[in-house]
Amino acid sequence: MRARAVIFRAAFGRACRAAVNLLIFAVFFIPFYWMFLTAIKSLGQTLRTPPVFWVSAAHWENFRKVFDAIPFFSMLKNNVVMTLGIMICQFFTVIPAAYAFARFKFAGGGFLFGLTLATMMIPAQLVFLPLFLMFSRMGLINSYASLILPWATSPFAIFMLRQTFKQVPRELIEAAKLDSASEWKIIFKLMLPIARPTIVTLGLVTFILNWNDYFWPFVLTTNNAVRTLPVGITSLNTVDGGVRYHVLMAGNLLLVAPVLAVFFFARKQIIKAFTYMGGK
Amino acid sequence: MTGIELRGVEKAYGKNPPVIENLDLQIEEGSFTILLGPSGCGKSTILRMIAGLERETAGHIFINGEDMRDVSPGGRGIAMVFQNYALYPTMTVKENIEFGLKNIKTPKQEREARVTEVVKMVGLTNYVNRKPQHLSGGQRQRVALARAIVKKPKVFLMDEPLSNLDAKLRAQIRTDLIELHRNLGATFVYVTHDQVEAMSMGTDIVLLDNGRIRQQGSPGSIYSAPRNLFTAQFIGSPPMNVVKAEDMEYRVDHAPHGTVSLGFRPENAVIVSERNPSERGRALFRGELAAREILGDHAIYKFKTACGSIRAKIMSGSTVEYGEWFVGVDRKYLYYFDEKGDAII
Repeated sequence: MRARAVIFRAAFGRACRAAVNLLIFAVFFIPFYWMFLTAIKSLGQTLRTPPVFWVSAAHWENFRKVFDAIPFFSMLKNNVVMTLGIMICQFFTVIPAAYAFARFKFAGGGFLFGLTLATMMIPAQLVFLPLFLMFSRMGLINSYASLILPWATSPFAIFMLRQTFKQVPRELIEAAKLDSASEWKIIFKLMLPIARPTIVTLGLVTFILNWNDYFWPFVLTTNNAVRTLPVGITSLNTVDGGVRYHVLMAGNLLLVAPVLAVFFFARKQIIKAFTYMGGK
Repeated sequence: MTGIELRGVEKAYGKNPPVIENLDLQIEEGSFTILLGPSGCGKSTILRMIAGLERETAGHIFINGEDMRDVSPGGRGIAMVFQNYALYPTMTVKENIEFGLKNIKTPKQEREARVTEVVKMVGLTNYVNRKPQHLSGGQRQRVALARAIVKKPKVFLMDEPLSNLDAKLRAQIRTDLIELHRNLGATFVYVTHDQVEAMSMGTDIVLLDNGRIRQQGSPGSIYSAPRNLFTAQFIGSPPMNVVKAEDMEYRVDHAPHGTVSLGFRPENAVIVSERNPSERGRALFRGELAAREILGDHAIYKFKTACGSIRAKIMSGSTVEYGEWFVGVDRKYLYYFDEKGDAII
């Protein structure tokens, strides 16, 4: 009798866990499914009540409508240029700043670090007008520079990377000094490899945030020449006055596809990065 | 002049009073010198100043007669083994070992030969391509040693390198280090708070307290001729029994003038059941056996007496039952200390 009760309890526990897992899966999966489904529906199907959860014939022409409505590939190129440009700039500004804040004591270091963190507290809505005016006086509106420069560095990334550098035990650096390593050797052979998971994670976060960024590219551009995809996709919304959900979703699908692809391939690295940081 | 010499060395952090003041220390070339002392006595600071990881605020440090004031840690001809090993986590065992050689641009052929030799010496040949996190504590310890040996330094500095290992491994690596020292003929400077490590490995012990040297000498002389109470009570396991002369139930009539306290080692005590008044020249304590530890080849007994607890270490023999006993010590085993705690000889 008791043995059976134990077996029953174990089975019940497994079932509960499975149910919770299923629920979590649904919460994350259904929005994506809905986006995909809407992207291949006809306009009539998107507006039907109750909503349909399955279509028998896919309307692939929705994607063509996206390409017809906006200069998709030029916008995609702009997106790539902007995102890569930001990532490269941050690589060269964030790493030296974080390293200096973590390792060296210099006059005003604490104040400068505080100032860096303080910039995180200023809302974007407060600075976009002055920034726009500044760029327009410099003649940089509608240029890649205006898309990249505001994000050429990141206080959050500096903070995170500084913490990582600070966590490296002092003895490691001392051992390297006793091994006749120069400061550059210490940086490139020791500190950067140790911080690699953090750097990769920050790179991914930067990629995802800027790839999907709508506000700044919208504010700092006035024509389609340098506009990015999120701006273009949003404009699909209002093409003929009515809302074309199916075309909008087709565009969205194309927009998030690279992000999903990056996540799919870098999944292991992302998980490792977070467990590495958590396990410290 | 060879070896290491510290002359009038002072170390202070910020505006705090110095932790080490006017320290003179001579470390013989080829010796296995132990810097021994309780935590916070400044032994690690001394080691780190010799390594050049910390700058002395005054005084001079000489290695083989050369003033080290403006010499970088890498240029001092030393190697250091850290308590937590400080292995480079992203490098394999081999890369860890050859990092120092690469930095001084040792030719590849020589580098390979030296790494291979050292790896064989410490028994890590099958682990050269592993990362440190996939090694056991003992193996990491050996990588740290190999990383030091491969540089062929004149001086090895070791900062409590055994404290992260379990007791069995510690005993084994202790003998390994003694052999290594004999084979290499280099100077070893070894920091520890464990007097067993100090006594077993050292050829020269520097006992430190509060940034000052309390006694320096061979393990034998430090054990048998302690110059003060601190040394007497730090060395030996269990430590020396020290009693106030005035608290003693049976006075020792032959104590030299100025004696404030008496000491004797637990291993020199005998346990007797009766007081024999005819016995002269033996210090005697009446006490109640409070605890006994039977340790196979010897036993340690703790007695409660009129002048505090007293421990006796008795080699084998029959077990002493709980009850009242007398603890006796021959006068030749007695140490006398004056009111400042200095030994009266």
